[in-house]
Amino acid sequence: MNERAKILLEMILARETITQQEAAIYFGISERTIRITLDEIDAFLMANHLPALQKQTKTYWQYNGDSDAVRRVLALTSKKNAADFWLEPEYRLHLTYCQILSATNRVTIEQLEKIGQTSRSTVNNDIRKLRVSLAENGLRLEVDPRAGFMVVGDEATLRMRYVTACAYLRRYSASTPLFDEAKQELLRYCVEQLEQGQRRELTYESFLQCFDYLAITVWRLNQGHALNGDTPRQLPRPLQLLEPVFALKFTDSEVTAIQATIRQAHLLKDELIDRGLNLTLDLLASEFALYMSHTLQIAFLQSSTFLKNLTMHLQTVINQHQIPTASPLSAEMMASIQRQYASTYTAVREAVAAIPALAELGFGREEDLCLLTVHVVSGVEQARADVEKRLKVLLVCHLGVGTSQLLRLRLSGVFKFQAQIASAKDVENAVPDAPNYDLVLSTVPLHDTSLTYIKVSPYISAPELTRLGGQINHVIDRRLKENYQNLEEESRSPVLKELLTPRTIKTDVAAADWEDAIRKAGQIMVDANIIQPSYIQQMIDGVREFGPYIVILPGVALAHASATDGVNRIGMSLITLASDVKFGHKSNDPVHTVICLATVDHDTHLRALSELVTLLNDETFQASLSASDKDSIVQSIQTLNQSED
Amino acid sequence: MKIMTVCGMGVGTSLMLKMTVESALAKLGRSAEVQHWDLGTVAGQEHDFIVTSDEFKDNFRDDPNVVFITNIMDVNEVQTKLSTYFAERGDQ
Repeated sequence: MNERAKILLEMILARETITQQEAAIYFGISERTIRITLDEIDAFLMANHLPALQKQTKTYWQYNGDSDAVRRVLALTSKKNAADFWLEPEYRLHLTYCQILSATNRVTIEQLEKIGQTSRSTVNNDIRKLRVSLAENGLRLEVDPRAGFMVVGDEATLRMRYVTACAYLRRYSASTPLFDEAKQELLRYCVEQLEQGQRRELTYESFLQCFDYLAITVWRLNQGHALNGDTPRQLPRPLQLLEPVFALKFTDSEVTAIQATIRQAHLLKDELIDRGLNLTLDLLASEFALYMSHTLQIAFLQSSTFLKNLTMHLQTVINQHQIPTASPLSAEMMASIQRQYASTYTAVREAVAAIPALAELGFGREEDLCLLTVHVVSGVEQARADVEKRLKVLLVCHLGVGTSQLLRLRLSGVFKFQAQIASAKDVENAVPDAPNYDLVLSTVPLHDTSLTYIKVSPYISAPELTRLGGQINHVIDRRLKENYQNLEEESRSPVLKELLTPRTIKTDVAAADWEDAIRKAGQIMVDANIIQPSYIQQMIDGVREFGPYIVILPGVALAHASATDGVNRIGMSLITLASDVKFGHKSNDPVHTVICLATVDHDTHLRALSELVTLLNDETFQASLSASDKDSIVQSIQTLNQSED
Repeated sequence: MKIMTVCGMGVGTSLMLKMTVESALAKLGRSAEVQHWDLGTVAGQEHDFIVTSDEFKDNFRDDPNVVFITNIMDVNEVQTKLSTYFAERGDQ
């Protein structure tokens, strides 16, 4: 650990409350560096078999108890920093603004001079700049030669400007408190209560901003500057506490503004704030999406649009729960939703019941269940549309020029996919990747082909289109299910016997040279729909570029490419060769066994690969490979680890 | 101690080598963090030393902190070469 990490750890051990921001200010470094320092401390603790630091939300570390020493150090340093930054014009601009607003009446130029420890000309200069900057927000600086300065303009803008200025000053540990410590404590408590009332957890930064807003509101009310409005119908309990203490009355527009500030906290231009709140909703949304994916067997999680919309929906509903509004759905509409999408509605109700946070947030109401149902239904529609757009459809006509063009035009008006065109001759001579098409439509009868196709007339009629639509829906259903199953497969790390199966193992394969051997082994994965043909070339290019290092054992090559392009899912294939080939490896040539590996990321294949290592070190397995004995190769793989299970 | 195992792509061979290195370290009674990387990006990573295949000698010319392995699945070879490396470094 370096010196900084040591000091920071001491500070934390001294049972002091320290925020990331305070630490950053204390050391005069970025918050990012503080996080790195904290990682160093964690590494040190773990190396010494001690529990790691506990990071709390709002990026602070909370401790109980006293620590005057640390507090003093912090106070000393931040004072010094404040003085340094006082020299910065922007800093002075914000401070001057806060000073003027926080003055009981007006503030005189002499007072400003004294506070800023600057000359009259500097103050004048600052005032000029402040005037320009205020004008941008539609605010004015009013001056009375004897009484001094005062800011006038739209009350809401004026307060927001104060909040911004405070946030700026806070970066340098400076502040112009409007109230004494006890009253500030009460205001903090009040924000906390309002925050909890909205079932939110604000980031530390946005909590402070909400506090600033409440403070300036109370201050301005005391000065007689209120937002126009009526007596609120219902005053939130935390605000009720404030009225007698500060001798004021909140209007309904004040209450709305305060609640809105807390509600929109994460929308303020601050990354931290954004991340703080959205994260939880994101997690909640994906938990719900995952649950629905399983029930409906549709891979919602693949669609970021669905998740984004869902997150926004949750956000909106949570906000609405705060302010009771008329339901956007009539009883009639709700009944219709429940009838029309009965199975989805049931699934949604189950999901909400199964996810405690959703139930707790009040999503169990019939109306919310209906809205979520509509959301899910449109998510399914979107997923279907995405699949339809990507369907590979082949249109076959006699020559592939005339009628098929017309047909394509016709279809593109009705369906979302873009069809490819081929002549009957092409198809009969076997289009190379014909089996990869989801649907083949032909205007002429096809002979000598194993392709399943649908015969259509070139001038397709309406009933024919309807029928075709049904068939296409069928294909989409199948694709959706496949996508879901693939996702399920990807989400876990497979074992070797799931990858190397009788289908992906071939023995006695004839190959002319190393390149051909990789092609033959790769083709197995292409046939099994694990990779695209392009991946084979990448494996060969890998050997060309980096040399024959893939010959990992005498006689065994492990071919793979780094790119995940062209990989549909994780997979392996294994071939033994009829006659050995040379890769050009100094000691491990000639090669008898070629194993191909298709990876989807850095680590998912770890389990299978480590099993492969065990097997390759096993003499029985080596003998089976040399003998090209497929049955015993498969047997070894299948029975691997069985004794342990 | 942070050891990087390296191959051309950083997913297959390097991962196998990582497993061999971990077995060899266990036999030597040592522990270390072992990560697998590809040739292109390993240079930018903080590490104590690199273990890689003989085939990449040209890529690491004159670098004393690289251990070259002929048979990346041979635990004995890796063990021998690692202990030689530790001895040379004066790290017994």
